[in-house]
Amino acid sequence: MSVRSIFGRVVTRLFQFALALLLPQLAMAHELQPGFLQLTETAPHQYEVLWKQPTSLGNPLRLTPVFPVTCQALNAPQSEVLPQSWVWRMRLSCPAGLAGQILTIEGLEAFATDVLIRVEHGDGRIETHLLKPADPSVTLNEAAGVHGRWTYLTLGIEHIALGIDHLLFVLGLLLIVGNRWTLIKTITSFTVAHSITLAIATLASVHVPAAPLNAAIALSILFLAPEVVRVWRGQTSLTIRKPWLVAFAFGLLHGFGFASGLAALGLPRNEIAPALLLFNIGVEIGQLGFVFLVIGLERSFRVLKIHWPRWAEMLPAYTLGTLGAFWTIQRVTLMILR
Amino acid sequence: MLVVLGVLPLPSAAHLVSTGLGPIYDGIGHFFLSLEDLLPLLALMTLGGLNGVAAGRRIMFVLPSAWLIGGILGSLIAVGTIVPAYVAPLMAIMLGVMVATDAQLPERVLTGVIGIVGSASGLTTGIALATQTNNLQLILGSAIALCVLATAVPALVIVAATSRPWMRIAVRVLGSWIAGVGLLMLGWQVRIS
Amino acid sequence: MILRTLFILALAANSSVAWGHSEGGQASGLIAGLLHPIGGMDHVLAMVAVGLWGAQLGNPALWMLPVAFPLVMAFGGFLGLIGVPLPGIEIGIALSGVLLGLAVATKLQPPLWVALLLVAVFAIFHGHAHGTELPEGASGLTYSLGFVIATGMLHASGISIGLVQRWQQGKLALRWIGGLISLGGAYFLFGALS
Repeated sequence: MSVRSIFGRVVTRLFQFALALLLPQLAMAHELQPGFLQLTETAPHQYEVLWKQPTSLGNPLRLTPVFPVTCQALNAPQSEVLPQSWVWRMRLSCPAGLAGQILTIEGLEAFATDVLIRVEHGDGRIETHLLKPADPSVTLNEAAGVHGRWTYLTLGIEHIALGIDHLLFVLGLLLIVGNRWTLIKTITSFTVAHSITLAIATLASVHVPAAPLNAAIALSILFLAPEVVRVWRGQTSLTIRKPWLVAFAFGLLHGFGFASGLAALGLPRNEIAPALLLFNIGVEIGQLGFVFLVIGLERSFRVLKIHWPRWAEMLPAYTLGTLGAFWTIQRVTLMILR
Repeated sequence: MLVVLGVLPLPSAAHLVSTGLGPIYDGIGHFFLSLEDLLPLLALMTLGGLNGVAAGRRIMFVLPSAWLIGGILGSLIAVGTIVPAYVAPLMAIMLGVMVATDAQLPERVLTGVIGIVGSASGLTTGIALATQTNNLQLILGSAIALCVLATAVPALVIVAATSRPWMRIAVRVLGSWIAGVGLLMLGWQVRIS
Repeated sequence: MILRTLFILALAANSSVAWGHSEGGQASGLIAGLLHPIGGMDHVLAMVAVGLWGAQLGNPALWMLPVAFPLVMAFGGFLGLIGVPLPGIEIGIALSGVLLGLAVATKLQPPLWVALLLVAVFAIFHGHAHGTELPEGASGLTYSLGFVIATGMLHASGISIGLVQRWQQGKLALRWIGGLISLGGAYFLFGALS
C-alpha cells in the first residue's frame, strides 16, 4: 500500500469523523418549524388570537407573544397540543386599534427560528410579517399588507437554504448527469415533480405523516450515492441513462417535504394560492442558485486544470452515502420510538 | 445573492449581517459586505489569474488556508488588539498596482504573497469578530465564501485574459481601479485619524 | 462577455451595499462618489477628452491611459485628503480642458511619454479637487469606489466615442468635438481667472 493511499484513507476517516460531529447540527438545521401568530378582527377592535407555538422534540419553545399595552384579554387562553405545535386561542380587545402598535415575540432572540405574523383586519385587508431572531418585534402598520406577502418568497428561499437534505439530493443529481441537455431535463423534472406534490399537499390538504416522509427523503439521498460511484467507475444503470426519471420520482417525495414547511404556518384559505406560488418560486430561486454555484465551481476546476486525488474525487459520493445512511437510520429510529 | 444583499439591513460599523439562516450564512454575508477587506483579496485573486493556471490553482488552495489560519488565530488573540486600519488599503494598493502592471511573479514569491495577504486578512476578520459568540462559525462561513471566490475569480480571469487582448487590458484597468480606491481609502484613514 | 456580466454584477452589488449603508444613517457614499466627478462639467469635459485623445493616439496610449489615469488621479485625491495644498487647482482643471480639447482638435501626436506626463499632471489636479471636496460624513470606502468607477466610466465613454474615427467623417467629427471641449474649457478658465 502506497503512502498516498494511506493518506487518502486517513483523510477519508477524518472526514467521516468530522461529519459525525457535525451531524446532530445538520439534523437540527432542517427542522425549520416557524411559529405562527394570527389576529383576526371579528368585531371592531376585537381580535381572535391564534398562536401556534413551535415545539422541538415535544417540548414547546419558550416563545411568548407580547401584545400592545392598550390591548386586553377577554378570556383565558385555551390550549391544545398537536403533533408539531402547541396551539393557543384567546380573544383580545384593542380599543386603540392595532395601527402603529408594537408586537413582540419574547424569547425569539434565543432560537434559530422565525415567527410569521398575520393580521386580518375587519375590512378584509391582510398584513403579514416575518419576525426573525435578530429583530423580534414589529410595528403594525395599515399600509404594510402588500409588502408583507413577499415574506412567503423569503420563507421559500430559507427553506431550501437550510434544507441540506434537499440540496444534497440536487448535488447527487448534478454528479450523475453527463451533459447540459440532460442537466436541464433532470432539474426541470425535479422542479415539476416537487411543484406538483407541493401544490397537491397544500391545496387539497393531503397530509403525509412527517416521520416516514423524512425517512424516505433520507433514503432518496442514500439511493443516489452508489449511482455516483457507478458513474465514477464508468459503469451504467437506468439512473445514469435516464436521471430525469429518478429526479421526477423522488421529486414527488421532496415536494411533500417542502409542503410540510409551508403547512407548519397554517395558512388561511383565501391566501393559499399566492402564498404557495411565492413559496415555490422562493424554493426554485434557492435551488437554481445552488445549481449555478455547483456548475460554476466545476467549470472553474476545469479551467484551473485540477487533478483531484482519488479520495477527493470520491468525497462527494461518500458524503451523500454517509449522510443519507445516517439520516435514514436516525429518522427510522425516531419513527419506531414514537 | 443580489436580492439577499439588497434587503439586508446593514449595521454600518460592524458589518454584522443577520441573514436569519444561522451563523454560517451570517459569516458568508459578513464576508461579502466587508468591502475594504474584500478589495485586496479580489486584487490577489485577479493577479493569480493573470499569472496563469498554476498560479490560479495556488490561489485556490493556499489563500483560503492562510486566511482560515489567520482567522482562527485572530479570534484566539485577546479582544482589544486591532489590526491597523491602513493594512487593508496598503495591500489593495500594492496588489492593485501589480494587477495593473500585469506583474508576472515567480512561483515562490507568489506563494509568499498569498500567505502574507491571506493570513493578514484573516487576522483582521478574526479579531473583528472575536467579540461575537458564534465567532468560529462566522469565520468558517467567511472561509467558505472565500473558497468559492478563490476558485471562481482566478478561473474567470484566466478565461477572460486569454480570450481577447482587450479583455486582459480590462482586467488590468480593474486592478488600477482597486489600487486607486486603496489610495483614496488610505488618504481617508489619514484624514479621520 | 463573462467579464462584462461580472462587472455589471459587481456594480449592482456595490450599489445595493451603498443603499444598505444609507439605511444605517451614513451618507450614501457610493452615490455621492459616483455623482461627484459627473457633477462638475469642467471635470467631465477633461476626462472625456482624455478618452478621445487616447482613441486618436491608438495603441499603446489607448490602453495605457485608462490603466494609469485612475491611479494618478487617486494619488491626487490622496494628496487632497491628507491636506497637501496644491495651488491653482481651478485654473489647472480648466486649463486641462482647453489643452486636451486642443490636442484632440489638432490631432496632436507627441511622443508617448509626453502625452502620459501631460495627462498625469492634469489627473493630479482633478483628483486633488475631489479629495478636498469630499463631503463631511461620507463613507470613505464607498465614496472612493463610486469616484473611481465614475472616472473610469467617463473615460470609457470618451474611448467609445473615439471609435467613430474608423470612418472618414468620424475623424472630422472627433476633431470638432475636441474643439468644442476646448471652447468649454476656455469658458471655465475665464470663470476661474476672473
